[in-house]
Amino acid sequence: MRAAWRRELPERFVVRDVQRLLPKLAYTTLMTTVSRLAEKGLLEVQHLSEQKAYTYGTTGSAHVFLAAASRQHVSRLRDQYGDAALAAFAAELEGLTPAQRERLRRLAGRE
Amino acid sequence: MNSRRSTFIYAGLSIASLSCIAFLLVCPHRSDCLRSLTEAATWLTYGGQVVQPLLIVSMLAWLIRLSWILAATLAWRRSLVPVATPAAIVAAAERIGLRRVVTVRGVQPEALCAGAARPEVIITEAVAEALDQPEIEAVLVHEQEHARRREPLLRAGLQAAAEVFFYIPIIRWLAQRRLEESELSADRTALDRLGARPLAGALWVLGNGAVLRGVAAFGDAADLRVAQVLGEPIPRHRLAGSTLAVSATGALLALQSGSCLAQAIAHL
Repeated sequence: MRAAWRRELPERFVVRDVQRLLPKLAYTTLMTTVSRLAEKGLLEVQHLSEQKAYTYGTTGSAHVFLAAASRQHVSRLRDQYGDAALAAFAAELEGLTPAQRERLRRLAGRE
Repeated sequence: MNSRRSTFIYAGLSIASLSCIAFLLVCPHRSDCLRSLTEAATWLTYGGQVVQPLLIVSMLAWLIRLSWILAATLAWRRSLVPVATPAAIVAAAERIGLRRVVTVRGVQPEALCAGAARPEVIITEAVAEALDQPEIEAVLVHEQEHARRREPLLRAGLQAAAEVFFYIPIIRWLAQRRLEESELSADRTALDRLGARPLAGALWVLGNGAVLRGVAAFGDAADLRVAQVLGEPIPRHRLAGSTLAVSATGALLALQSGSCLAQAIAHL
């Protein structure tokens, strides 16, 4: 994933491209790893039917992944143990009306 | 109340009651069993004998669940990676008189209070970049208030009670209302000390996706907090008749199940 995020791989890549970067690893090992990453949603997979091949691309930047991962980490805690033992400064503003959001934004002095 | 949850409560308790009554009908001492089934006095006697053990078992279950929640949170707390506290956070903590703030690694601006015996304010390093100085102070005052009131321990206790007494959903409802009130109260402290602008700014930034979404522990309290900071009337969540009805029926069914079980054991 680091190679993909650092653009050491083409925007759309195949398993052979990954093997060029990691020649010591077997093709099948890399294929399994790439498929797993795609299953986890880190890579987006495209099937080229005429070439009978799959190309891959990242679904987001490292920053997006870390943000999502840290959110998931905390969400898992909530799912497992309930809304307890933590008190966090947070609010889900998505449920507000557009007028409320606008008033809050203006009061906050945010663009 | 969640209608699916109430259906499960009704179904579970009804199945327990009916199974027990069915056993009483086919037990070896059938005539005694039938008498015990039809006499209200028997139900009351066995019910009385059941209340105390039921409460003791419930208290034990509550303690076990509470310990489990606290242990899990402690394990989660230990998984956080501490980093040097940015100067902006140190300055904000000094200004509001917060003696200890723990900064942890994190690309999301997050602030929380955790710990049962000695609650501590935990903040991610990203907060220093996402918020200005007064906004950081507002967040710290809010969390400081939670720490002062030992909010994490209180919430864990209420959460455990709501789960153990699942058949009385009014407990969950009361826990949620108290939780919202604690959020509003912590916000009021920040409003009194710093004014509306910093708190609104902190809510705006931390509430727009860059947040511990879900962990907020108050779920639908955002509307209340925003209304308060905007100086609007605070909407109140009324107790639904269905929650009250399910709680009363749930308590009755639980007592009946326990009483029936006691009779079944006595007639074995």
